[in-house]
Amino acid sequence: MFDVCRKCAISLAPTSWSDPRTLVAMAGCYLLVTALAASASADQASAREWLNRMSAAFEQQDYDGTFSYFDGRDLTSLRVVHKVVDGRQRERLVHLNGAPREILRDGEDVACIFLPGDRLVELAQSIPSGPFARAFVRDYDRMAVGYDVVMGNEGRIAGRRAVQLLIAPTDEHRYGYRLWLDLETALLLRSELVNQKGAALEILQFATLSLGADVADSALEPEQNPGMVVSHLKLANADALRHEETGKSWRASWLPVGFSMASADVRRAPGSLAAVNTLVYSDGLAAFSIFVEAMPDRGATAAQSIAGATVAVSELIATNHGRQLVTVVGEIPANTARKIARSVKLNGGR
Amino acid sequence: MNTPVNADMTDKLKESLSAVIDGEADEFELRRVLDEAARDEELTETWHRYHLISTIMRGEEVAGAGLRGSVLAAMSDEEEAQASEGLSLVSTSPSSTKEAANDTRRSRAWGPMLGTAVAAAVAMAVVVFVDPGSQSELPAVADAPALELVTPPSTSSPAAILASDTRAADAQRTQAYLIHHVQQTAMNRGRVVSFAKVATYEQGAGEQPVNDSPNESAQQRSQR
Repeated sequence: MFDVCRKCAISLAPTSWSDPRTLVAMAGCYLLVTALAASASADQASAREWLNRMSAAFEQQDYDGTFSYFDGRDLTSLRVVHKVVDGRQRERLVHLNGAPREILRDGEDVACIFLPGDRLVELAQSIPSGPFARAFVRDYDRMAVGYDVVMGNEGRIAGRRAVQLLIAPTDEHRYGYRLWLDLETALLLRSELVNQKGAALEILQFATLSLGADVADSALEPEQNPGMVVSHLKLANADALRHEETGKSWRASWLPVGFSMASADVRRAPGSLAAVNTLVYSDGLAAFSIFVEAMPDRGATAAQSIAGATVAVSELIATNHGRQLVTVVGEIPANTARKIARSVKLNGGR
Repeated sequence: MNTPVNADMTDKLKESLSAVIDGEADEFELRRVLDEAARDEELTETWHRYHLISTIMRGEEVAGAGLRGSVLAAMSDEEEAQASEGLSLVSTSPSSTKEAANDTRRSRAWGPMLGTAVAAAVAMAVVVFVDPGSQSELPAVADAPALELVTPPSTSSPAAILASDTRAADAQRTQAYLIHHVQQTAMNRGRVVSFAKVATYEQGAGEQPVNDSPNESAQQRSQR
């Protein structure tokens, strides 16, 4: 720090300042902090530009890579191939661990290929309209409330030079990210979801990555395994009930700064005819879901479970409409999730 | 913030920034800067945020060790529970296995329909799988060490068996919510992480007694 101040003093010397040395140093130190703020905003602009480039890169680049994903419990490896063919985005996501499974996309068509007897997660709700690897949100303006985005140090991932972006939360109600983007293409090479203390809760990292002309058309063809079943998926929303059927709308009366509602619907509870109110909130980066289900008997208990960055907190709340089980699930700290769960109220009442 | 800073100096100061934040500054000088900064709320805020960023940058791994340690412990416990369960399914209840096999054939005749094929596993420390038809046959659920259930003291304590059923139902519900959350966020945001997560939610699925033979069961298990 002393060196820093001396540097300030030296660089200030040619200017109008000609005060005693100590004062110059103090002024320099003051200016250092001022400059931190100034350089911080320049840095943030540059970092956000990298985020924009990253989003575009996932759609525009041709790439073929393998990545591993650690969710706090399990390590999974997948291969992802993305290629723009005749203006259409074609993709292939291959599970490299366990039972063979592939997900193919050609424009808006999505097909899952797997062995019979393999139980597939119901993907009907989860096929995004963009590519599999569309990273993060485009809602950077909203993100600005909850996060600082700055450049970190340069690094090397999957044998490629990478720039590091730090997405630091501005309060204790959300997690941060350390991202490494390919210096040349801005593709995401490594992502760490980190808690307030900087410890990684979830890690995604590419091990290999081929780009551009190195990505052959044949890389998009699924592996031929005897007996594999192909299931074509459509975007369906069959189990959503009409809002009028229940007439109730639940809302969180307390939310961390920057979070707002992304969607709300009512659907059938798993394995029963009971209606579950489902609310999704996002701050532009993190998201959590709130599930509200009537719990008239003494069936459920308050519970909490955590894995990696994902938390599920259940609270029983007494309302004019009887006892409700409120469950908050998301990539947010447990205390925040509990506070949100306890704040859930009937909107406007009835 | 209001003080104009020429670009040249900004670069030099920026260069020094990492040294300051990495703790290479001596205590006395640091304090002096902070004292100066304290006069300006905005600068204090900037300072604070820079330190938060530097924490994120350094990644103080020590704090995460506890969580990961417990997750590891939960994993090994869970694997044992699954292993013993698999054994009892094939060795002690041949009739139910046969029935299950018939069910499997039926469902294969239908094909793996969406809507009926929903994963029963969760990539959380909570891994409690429950076959809805045979809850009573799953003593492992009651003492599943991976499941971290917090019962508030205000809640009246039900009988032990009831509690075990309740916990199983709770775990199942929580699991369904989790999958739904991941799907929702995958749909809304399409993050590669969400997709990898959907993939991992499938890992460890298939614990229901739907295997045709003990051999197949063992084979499937060994793949995981």
